[in-house]
Amino acid sequence: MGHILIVDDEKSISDLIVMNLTMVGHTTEQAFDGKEALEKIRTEHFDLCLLDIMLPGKDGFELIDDFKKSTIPVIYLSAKNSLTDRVKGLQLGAEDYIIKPFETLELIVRIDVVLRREGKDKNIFTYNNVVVDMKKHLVLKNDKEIELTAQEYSLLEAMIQNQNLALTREQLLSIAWGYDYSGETRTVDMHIQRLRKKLGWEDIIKTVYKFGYRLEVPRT
Amino acid sequence: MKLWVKIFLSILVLSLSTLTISITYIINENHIISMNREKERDLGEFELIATSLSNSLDFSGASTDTLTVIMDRYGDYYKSRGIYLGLYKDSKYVYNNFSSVKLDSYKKLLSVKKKEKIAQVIHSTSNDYILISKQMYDNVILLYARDISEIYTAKNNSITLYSIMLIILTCFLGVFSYLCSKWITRPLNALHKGVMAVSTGKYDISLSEHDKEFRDVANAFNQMARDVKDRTQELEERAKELQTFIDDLSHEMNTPLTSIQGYSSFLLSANASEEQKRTAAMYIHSESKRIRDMYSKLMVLSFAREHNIERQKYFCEEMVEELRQTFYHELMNQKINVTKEILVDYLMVDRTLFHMLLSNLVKNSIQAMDMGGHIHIKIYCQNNISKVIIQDSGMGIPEDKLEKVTKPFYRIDKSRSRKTGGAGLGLSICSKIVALHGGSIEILSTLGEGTTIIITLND
Repeated sequence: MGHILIVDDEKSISDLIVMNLTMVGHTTEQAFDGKEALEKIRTEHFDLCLLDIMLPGKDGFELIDDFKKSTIPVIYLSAKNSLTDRVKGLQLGAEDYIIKPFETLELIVRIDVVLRREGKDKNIFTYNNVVVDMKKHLVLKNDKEIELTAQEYSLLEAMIQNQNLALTREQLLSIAWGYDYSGETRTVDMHIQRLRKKLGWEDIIKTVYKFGYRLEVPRT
Repeated sequence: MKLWVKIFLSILVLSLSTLTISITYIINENHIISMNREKERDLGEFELIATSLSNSLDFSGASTDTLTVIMDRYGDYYKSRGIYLGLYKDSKYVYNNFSSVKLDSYKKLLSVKKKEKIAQVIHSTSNDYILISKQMYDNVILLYARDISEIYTAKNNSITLYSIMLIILTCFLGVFSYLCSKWITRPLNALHKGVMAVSTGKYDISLSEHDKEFRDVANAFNQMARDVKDRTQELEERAKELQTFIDDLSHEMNTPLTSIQGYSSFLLSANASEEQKRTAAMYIHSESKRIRDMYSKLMVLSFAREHNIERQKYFCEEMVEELRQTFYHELMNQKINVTKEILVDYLMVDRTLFHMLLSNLVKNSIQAMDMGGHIHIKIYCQNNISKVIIQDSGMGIPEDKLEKVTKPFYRIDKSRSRKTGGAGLGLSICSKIVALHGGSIEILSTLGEGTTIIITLND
């Protein structure tokens, strides 16, 4: 997973992002203004930066040059929702532009997309005797390959990427299989059952009452 | 039809018809008068001839030949004077020298009764005659005729002359009334241009006022254009201000809402530790409180905007004492010293609003000081103008930001005011309250030395 710098002067929002990203396995650093952010990138390497635009001192539009020099991809995260601002942000070289208020799930998915594009995503997920190689689309249990259908594999990947966060059946449908599936959410239940059985993950794929499913992995 | 065309046609038709009627009347009158004159003259002449004839011969006894001889003599004499004579006896003519006139046209004259006279005007193909007949004796009728063509010729000449004159006059009148109507409607054209300009948003137009009668209208119009311009600008400014306010408000609401939404969804979905759950709940609590504070302040702002103030006596000693009570703990904790200098007994103000005003200002002062320092409150009255001065020894306001501090949601230091829970509405509320009292607020500040706020109230 990635090492992510969060630059936002609102502590509550910054903390919220930190909590969520830590949950799914990213590591984070916080900066509350531009000056602090520049100091951080001088001393540390980051895979990605979430950058607010309205910051005290230098604003997000002015800061992006320094991030590009350090080859850190930037996702803007701003309450400025006008088209001109979004276009400006992307033209300046940001990878993405997310408007506040945002859905946590959307933020995580977009971060994953950017990390994958940059080749900075973690490709191997390991839990006990199971290894999931997301580059080769390969699942090994005790070094033996486990046959998964394409649908089961997508579902597994979605849950790994959102580990420790519960996803509703609808969310799972749309992330894993990419379509709005309003009717048969029972399909998700069936696939989850099969994944649990095939991987022996009955203990870590948890059913969250009245919500959905969550892949629970111990955090370090 | 355009107004100038109406005026143009009215002038033309009215003057031409007046002219035509009066000249026709005059020509006819003249003609009748000359006709009557000629008739009088002819009747006199006829009577002379008749009398002279009666004297020279006896109609009863004279033979036809005698009559012819006598008539011939008279006829020849009068012919040289343009008068023609005829004599009829028993419906046959004895003498007649005006053969150019046909018998049919004057047959009626031969039926004249005894001792009577008949006069008649007849028109032959080329000439006009006046004819008179009289029965001189039983069945003897004397006829008299004179050519009066010249009177008719004169009338016709007048008519021709007048017609030519009328054509020339029509041309002159046409030009005159065109210019006249254009001149009369000129202010209307100017006004029309002005209205068109205003309706397309060019409010700077000004109508010239050199025309005396038009001056009032032009003045009123120019005044209207200025008013419309001012009003439009005012509305535009207000709309802009409102838009800024709404933009700021939505931005201010956005952050706490994002937090609340995010943390609650975190609580619902995350495999979180107890500590993380507590942090999330704490943030939801504090952020929703922030929205509620903002809401109540906005309510005050809108209340202050629509509220009619009730002026009451507010004793100054009481005023300061109430402030001390309100901020008792803050003043104690931060070791802030409050001094007062009261030179007037009371102010006539709305107590609730004025307390809100002063406590907002004192709160700002307290927040501008970390530890220690003092606040000085001075109230005095001079020439019917009351002043309330609040002076603190806080951190001060940067000069370039002084202008903006009364704008809603403006905060000098975002991160600092967030710690103290400010929404950036305090001074905005203060300036509204002062404006409601018909006063003004002035902020003086030196960075690092302190801020002085002067409230001026006109009594």
